[in-house]
Amino acid sequence: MKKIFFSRSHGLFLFSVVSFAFIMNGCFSVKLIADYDEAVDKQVTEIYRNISIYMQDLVNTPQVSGTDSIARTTKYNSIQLDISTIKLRASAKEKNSQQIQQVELLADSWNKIGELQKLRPTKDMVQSAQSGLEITLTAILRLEIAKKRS
Amino acid sequence: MALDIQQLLTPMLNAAKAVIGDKWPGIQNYAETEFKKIGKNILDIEKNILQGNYSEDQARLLLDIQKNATKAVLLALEGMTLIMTERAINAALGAIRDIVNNAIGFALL
Repeated sequence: MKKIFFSRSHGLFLFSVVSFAFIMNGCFSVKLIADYDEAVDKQVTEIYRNISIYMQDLVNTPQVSGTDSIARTTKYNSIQLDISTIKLRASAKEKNSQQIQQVELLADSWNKIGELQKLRPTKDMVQSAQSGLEITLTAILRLEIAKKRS
Repeated sequence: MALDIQQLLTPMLNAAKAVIGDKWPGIQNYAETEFKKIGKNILDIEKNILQGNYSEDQARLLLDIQKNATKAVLLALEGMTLIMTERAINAALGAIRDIVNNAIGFALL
């Protein structure tokens, strides 16, 4: 009698463990956040570089006119497009809400840079904005790299 | 009245720590480093507002960028916490893999 009781209990334990494993993942490991994406890592690193160059140019030459102004607008729009591309890629992945929100914040900050430029920013202002953008970009990269190590 | 960095840093860290919970030690260094940068940026903006160097519109845009940076750091912390939890669960499943597989006679886990 005691033996039968043990077997049922043992079976129940195994059933619970197996059910838990299947319910949690449908496979054999639990996934709470999207996998590392090398393309996002590279694209964000490239945007980081382009934004640094852009902001440095803004520090060195706050006001431009004529063809320089057109060239600056082209660069600004190009970075905006790159951010949209990352957002699209991030949105295509499941369990990636943190990264999607981070990229949306980056896009919003980049829009703010566009607005700030119309208000004739000083060197201090550009440096403050650059620091904020770099913290945002680092946060995106930091999370992506953490996924790589998991 | 001028602010100091500790007035900003302590509530930011306490708020993040309360949300992150017991995973805090694993991400504390990153959080402190980034919140210090944001705190310093906010102090610079505040100083320039008080000195009349920034217009209200300029200051608002700059503060919005710092606000976005803070949210992005918090999202990174949230994601890193999920990764740590994921590791813990998978380690627990890994620890019982052999027991379960041996008991049932085939490699299920």
